[in-house]
Amino acid sequence: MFKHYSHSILNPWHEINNLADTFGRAFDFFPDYTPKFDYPPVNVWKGENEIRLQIKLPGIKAEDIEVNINHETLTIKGERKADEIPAGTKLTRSERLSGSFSRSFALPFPVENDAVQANYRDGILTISLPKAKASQPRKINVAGL
Amino acid sequence: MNENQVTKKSDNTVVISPRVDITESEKEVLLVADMPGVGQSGVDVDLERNVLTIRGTRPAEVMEGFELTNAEFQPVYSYERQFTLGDTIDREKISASMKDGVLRLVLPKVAEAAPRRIVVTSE
Repeated sequence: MFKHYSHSILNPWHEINNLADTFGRAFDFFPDYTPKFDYPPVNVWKGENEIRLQIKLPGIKAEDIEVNINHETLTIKGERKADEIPAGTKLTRSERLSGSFSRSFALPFPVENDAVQANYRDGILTISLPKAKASQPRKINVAGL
Repeated sequence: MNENQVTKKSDNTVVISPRVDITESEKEVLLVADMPGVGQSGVDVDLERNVLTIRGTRPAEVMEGFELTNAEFQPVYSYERQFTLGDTIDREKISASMKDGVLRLVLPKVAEAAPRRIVVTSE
């Protein structure tokens, strides 16, 4: 029932979440998740000159995650390994999520690849993508005038 | 669903019940809770009688100049969950650690009371 497809930040499916005043209403319908189950959950913030992604990924190691940017697609993939259960221990409750994932996002504008930053703190991965200078409006001086 | 039960409080803040794994061995119970975004200073572990409460808060970030265009989780939230502890847990020896948004609680069990023979004296 739920499709998994490459996210576009301009994806019409997310239109209901685009306006600050309908935000609350969207979450009344679906308590803490968007209608499709995506792991890990990602929030995308769009600014005039920057795109910022925040991803909930507790307990992950640097070597288990890969962030790639290719043209205007950002891909986050990796694996969150489950804790080992030592011998003589029984698992009485298991709710935490683990496993491999791969998520791609179409960026709404070209970004400065060299200036993309990824930061992992307290289980949140934050990726900052500044807009490419070339696509920022520039005033061009006309020689000869 | 990525996280269990979300409650919206009257002030519109969101409290999430974190996902936990509980394992048990002969000597201890381990409780591990995923609370991404919460740092060591934001963790609260409370024990009152036999109710264990874990809480995680994080400072609300101000994303000025940004619009949330793809929302898969509430941007402002805190965590809370309660558990009832059995008598087998040695309350004095409970320890906790927090790293990368994962809270680990070690709840050692009381050493089994050695069998006792109660001597009955006459008055």
